Amino acid sequence: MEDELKQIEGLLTPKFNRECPDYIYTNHVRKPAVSVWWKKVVGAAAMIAVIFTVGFAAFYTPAINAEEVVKTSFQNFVRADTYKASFFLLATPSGDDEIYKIAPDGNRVEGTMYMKYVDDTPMVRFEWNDDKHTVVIYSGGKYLCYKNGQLTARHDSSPILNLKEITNLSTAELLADKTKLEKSITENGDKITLSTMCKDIMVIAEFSADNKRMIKVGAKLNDVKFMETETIEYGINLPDSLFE
Amino acid sequence: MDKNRILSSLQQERDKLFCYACYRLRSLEEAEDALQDLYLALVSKLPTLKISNMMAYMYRSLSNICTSRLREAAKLPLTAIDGIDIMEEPKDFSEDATLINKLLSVIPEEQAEIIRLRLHSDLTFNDIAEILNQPVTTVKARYRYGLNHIRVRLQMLNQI
Repeated sequence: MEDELKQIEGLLTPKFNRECPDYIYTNHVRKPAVSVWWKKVVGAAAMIAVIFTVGFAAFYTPAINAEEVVKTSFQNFVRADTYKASFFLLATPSGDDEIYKIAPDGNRVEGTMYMKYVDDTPMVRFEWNDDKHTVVIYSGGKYLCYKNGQLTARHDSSPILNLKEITNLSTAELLADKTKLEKSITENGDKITLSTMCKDIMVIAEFSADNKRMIKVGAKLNDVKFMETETIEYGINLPDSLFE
Repeated sequence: MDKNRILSSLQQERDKLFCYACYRLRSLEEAEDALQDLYLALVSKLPTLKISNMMAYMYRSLSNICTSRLREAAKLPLTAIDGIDIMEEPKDFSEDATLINKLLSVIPEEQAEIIRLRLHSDLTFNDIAEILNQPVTTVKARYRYGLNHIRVRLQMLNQI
């Protein structure tokens, strides 16, 4: 019986004990209260995907001439199969898989996202410009994390960046609530700017009327810009090795 | 009570507190937020705090924060122990936390809390007795009852 009790103790003892991150206790300000929706996507990777999708998905209820440009831009995005976007965001480190979580009162973090579809499966790679050169890969249900070029974590993971799921989340949960959706479109030469207010977040997307592409997307919470792309490239050659 | 004493107590216990919150809330991110809430609560109450046992106060506060977070998130306790397979090693934190919470769900909360404080925060029975304001003998007995209940349930499922 004593052996069995020892065995039970072993089962109940944590096997994935993690150290408390250093940044806890350094921020003296309580985080702003946020909606349940925000909490669902507060992980940096998921949030960036949502911002991209909301930027595009806003074409669902356009009211002026720019509709066609935005709609074509979305179609081009879906057909692009690959894209690369460099961005900055305000975030704090997180112990979770996504490494950072969005925090309007956090520090500026820069990174690059690569996305490629293989047989409708999204493969996503985030390269963070941090001191450990952190790379996070979601590849066909696998999660990989590299620090300084060394593999530090690998496990099965549901593909959090499934564009279909994200689109459903964005359209069904956000855009369907018309009372919370305010939108304005302005045209300035070749540039079309579309602002969409979704719950707490203002997503601002810029489109080129000339080549019918989204050229920039960003997001604000309470007037604080917490994420914006610097460049977006479409249809580029991304070798499979980038997602391994 | 001065801020330096609070900070020093938190720093000393931070990893144990974090582990407790991680496995109680089954989420690293929620655990980080819970610890931040604990810190802010302590700092904001600083002028009026009169605490004789800082460690006991911290664990009791963190336990309350975890309980209210679980309630707010409507996170249901895990109870389906029937399909459990203890021979299968948990592959990650999530599986490990799920297994532990399922096992603890079959015993009364007062026994589960003692097991968490003992195994997740690595506290002595004397410390736990102070935190829970119970005699040490009661704490030891409840710890053993808890383990034994889980053992019996696993035996019924032919797991041990």
